[in-house]
Amino acid sequence: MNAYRYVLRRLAGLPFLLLGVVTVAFLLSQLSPAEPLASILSERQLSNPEAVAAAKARWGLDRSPVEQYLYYVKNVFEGDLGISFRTKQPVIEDLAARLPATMELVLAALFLGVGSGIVLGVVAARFRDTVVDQLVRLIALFGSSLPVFWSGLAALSIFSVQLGLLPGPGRMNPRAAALDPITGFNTIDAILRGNMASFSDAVTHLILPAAVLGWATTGVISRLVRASMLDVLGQDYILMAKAKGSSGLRILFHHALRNALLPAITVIGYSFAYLLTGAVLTETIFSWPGVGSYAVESARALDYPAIMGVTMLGGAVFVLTNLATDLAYVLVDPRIKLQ
Amino acid sequence: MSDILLDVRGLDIAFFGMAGQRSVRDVSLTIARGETVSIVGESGSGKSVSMRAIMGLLPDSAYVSGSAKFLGQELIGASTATLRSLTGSRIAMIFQDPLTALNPLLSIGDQISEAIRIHNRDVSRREARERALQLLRDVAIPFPEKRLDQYPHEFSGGMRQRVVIAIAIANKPDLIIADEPTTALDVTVQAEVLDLLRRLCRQNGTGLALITHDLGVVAGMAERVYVMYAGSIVEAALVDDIFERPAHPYTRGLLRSLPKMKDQAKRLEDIGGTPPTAASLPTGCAFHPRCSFATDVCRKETPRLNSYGRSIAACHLGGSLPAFEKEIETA
Repeated sequence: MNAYRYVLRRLAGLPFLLLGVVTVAFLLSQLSPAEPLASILSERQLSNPEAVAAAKARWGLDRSPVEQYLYYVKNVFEGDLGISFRTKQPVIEDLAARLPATMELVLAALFLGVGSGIVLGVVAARFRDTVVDQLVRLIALFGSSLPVFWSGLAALSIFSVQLGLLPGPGRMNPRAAALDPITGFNTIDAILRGNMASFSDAVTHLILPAAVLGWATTGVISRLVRASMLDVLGQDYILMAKAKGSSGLRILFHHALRNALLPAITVIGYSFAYLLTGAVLTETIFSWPGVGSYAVESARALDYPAIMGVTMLGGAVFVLTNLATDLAYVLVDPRIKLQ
Repeated sequence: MSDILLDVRGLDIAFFGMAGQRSVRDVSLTIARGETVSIVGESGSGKSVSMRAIMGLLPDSAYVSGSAKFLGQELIGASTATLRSLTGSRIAMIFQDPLTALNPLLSIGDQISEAIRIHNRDVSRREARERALQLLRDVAIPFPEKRLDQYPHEFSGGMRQRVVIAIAIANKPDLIIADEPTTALDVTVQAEVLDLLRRLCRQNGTGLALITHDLGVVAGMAERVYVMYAGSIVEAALVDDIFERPAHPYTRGLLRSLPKMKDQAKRLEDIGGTPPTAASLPTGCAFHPRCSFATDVCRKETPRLNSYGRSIAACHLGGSLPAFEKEIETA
């Protein structure tokens, strides 16, 4: 089957999924006992009936919930996520401005987490039941069980405050000249602008939050890859590769790892979505100006349009990640065909 | 003695965790250049393990001692580098199950080319591909150009075994060890694959060690036969003698359990009992609990290999066994 048609068919389902997300998010917002006017108006204005009526009319709060819902859905499908109560900016613009920071953090975390997870998993399988294996198990255990708000603070305290190896929170040194954005990824923009000082500034700021965020993924992936490698290394085709005279490293990486990574692809896709949600805590601790910290600030301010926007972004990311995962299987495993 | 290809002497194999129990005991055998030798025995008799030990394919938990000389070069205890330079180039292996012996994620062409390029660094990718194509023609796979870029799951069992054979002959080895090469295949395909294997070995003057439990395969392929039971060789003979004058009661049992054309109505005979494991080896002759001729000496003393005509067999009763009634029609 044609890959383009497959992708288009899968993407055609996206609006329906988003409609579901909108509906659930809207219902939850209606169920919540908080009064949105409290975040729009000051306390003094709240006691002024005229100001309250004006605000209600301005934000559509005077209409019935059904009307509000239909109006919102219509706007969403026109690409309008409403105006944020807090920033008074269109939500879609707020999200667009903050998404690159989050993507840069999450992709770096995914890269570190998956990369180290695969390497540690292979090493653990190769040196099964030795001290090395136990050490990897320990790293995985800590990664999966330490909450980010603790490991993040601990990492900041050790590497930034005590050792002074890495800068503290934030995306860039606030005293350095701001980068003119191209892609919104500071590391890439710095390279594109040929600004090496900014590049090292961006990278050193990125390392700690990405490592802390990716650690949980390291744990999951290393355990999975270890188990999967042990299974694959017992297969006949590995013995066959050995009988061909392949070297140990070639058997491990050319023959075994590719097969062992098949079950990991699903988890990598899932991790990406998981990291996006995990980014809320990490961004808060590292003062990272991304979607995660935007979500936290919006929630504190009862900024409904912004919260709904973040929720929908999350839903869209999940769908796209699933699609990317399915496509990755087709690329890696010749036995799997698009249906 | 340059026509001796493989000379195995006193091969012992034990596995970690089985204190003192040897899975393979004192196995000695030879294979001459271009000769087809069959190693016959039930599952667990040590035939595969012995051959894998020679190629250095056993897991680290195996302790191998004794000697196995390949063209005069000692293989047991040889360095990994030495073994790696021989396996796949001078000694090749064909595995039992072609469905699992090929890597599912690599194309057939890649897997054949790999066998060539590992041992010939100076061969370019394109050259290796050309040679892989020729190998597919040699093993009579139809549409080789198209098949080269396909993956194992697109091949039938018989075709996959042809690919495995193509990989085995890629470097024109002196010796091919075929471990039950047709057991996993349909009966109709078995004969084709065996014919192919025989033809290729004759063409290239390749020695063939054919591991099997199928005496029909032995009759059609081998010049000499080693019969293994419970980790030891119990009989070694020319193929005709095995069928005409089996010297060991176990060999006789194997022959009797073959189905016969003339009395199809009769129930198949089997050898009563089950073979022992390395951990539960009986005293004396390992076969005595299942042997209808067993005497006191069989229960106490382990028999040594003795000559009986042109054969050798490990049986206390060797000469005094009643004459074997020939009931076999060799295929």
